[in-house]
Amino acid sequence: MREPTRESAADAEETALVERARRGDPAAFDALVGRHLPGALVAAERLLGDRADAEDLVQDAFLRALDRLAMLDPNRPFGPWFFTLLRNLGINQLRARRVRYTEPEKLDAASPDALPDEEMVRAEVRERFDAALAALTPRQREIVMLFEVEGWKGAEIAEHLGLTPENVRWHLHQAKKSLRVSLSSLRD
Amino acid sequence: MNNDRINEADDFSQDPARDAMLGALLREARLRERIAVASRRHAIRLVETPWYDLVARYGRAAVPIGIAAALIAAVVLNRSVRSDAEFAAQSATASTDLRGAVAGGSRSAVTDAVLGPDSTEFLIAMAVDR
Repeated sequence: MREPTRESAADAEETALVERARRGDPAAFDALVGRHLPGALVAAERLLGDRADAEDLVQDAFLRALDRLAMLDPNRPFGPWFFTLLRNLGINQLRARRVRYTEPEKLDAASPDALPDEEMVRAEVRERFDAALAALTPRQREIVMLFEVEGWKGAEIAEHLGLTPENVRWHLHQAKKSLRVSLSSLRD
Repeated sequence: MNNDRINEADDFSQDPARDAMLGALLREARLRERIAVASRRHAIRLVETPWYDLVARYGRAAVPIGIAAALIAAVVLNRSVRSDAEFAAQSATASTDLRGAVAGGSRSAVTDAVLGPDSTEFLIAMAVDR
């Protein structure tokens, strides 16, 4: 008897996740989101050319997918189906905006579908990163988000939160140190 | 990442360099959280959707579909069902015609009363169609 390959094991796992999500298990849907989010973001940003619009498109696509999960043929993989949905939504948005565009490349091909091994590492890192982020104090979390994601300066954050800039930088230092630990295996 | 180490070495007088990788992961985490919250709200909304919301959502499609279904049903039922009064009136006319034809003694009149008048209209119609 042949040993099941890692790829087929990953596919089977994904099919099980889809089935659970279809029955209303939110954790299973979160896991599907986690698996396809990085690829979806790359694809959406490539299509729309803007990070914030891409995030909105990805969120919209996942909610549509949740709506239509019952219509997905259980023999078809979730990934290509989802990326087609994302692409169609993105094209509709572009048309609505009446922005001239060249026919986007196939997102199925563009989606950086990780190999099963990479996927496992990525999932593990994501889990550890989320745990580290959740372990930060609300203040540290807000500061690191404002600094790294929103691009605010230390002085601006300080003014916003009523702290001194040095205090903000100290919180930032602590937050980044904790988060880096969770990424150590990825960065080594 | 390496610059961070230099900037963050206990010197809080200036901002550290931004970490692109950390920034990307934080954005991703934030979006994952956003989607998780939205998907739960969405699921709850689907379960709790009251009937009037469904009517509002699907009403536009339901009205023409309902009208079309009613028209089809009316046509089909009209062919197969006749009202009692209609049936009784038709039967009475037919039996009066038959009685009259029998009393008259003409064979062709009786045949016409039972099968309907002999007509060649259907032959003409077929010829025209061809």
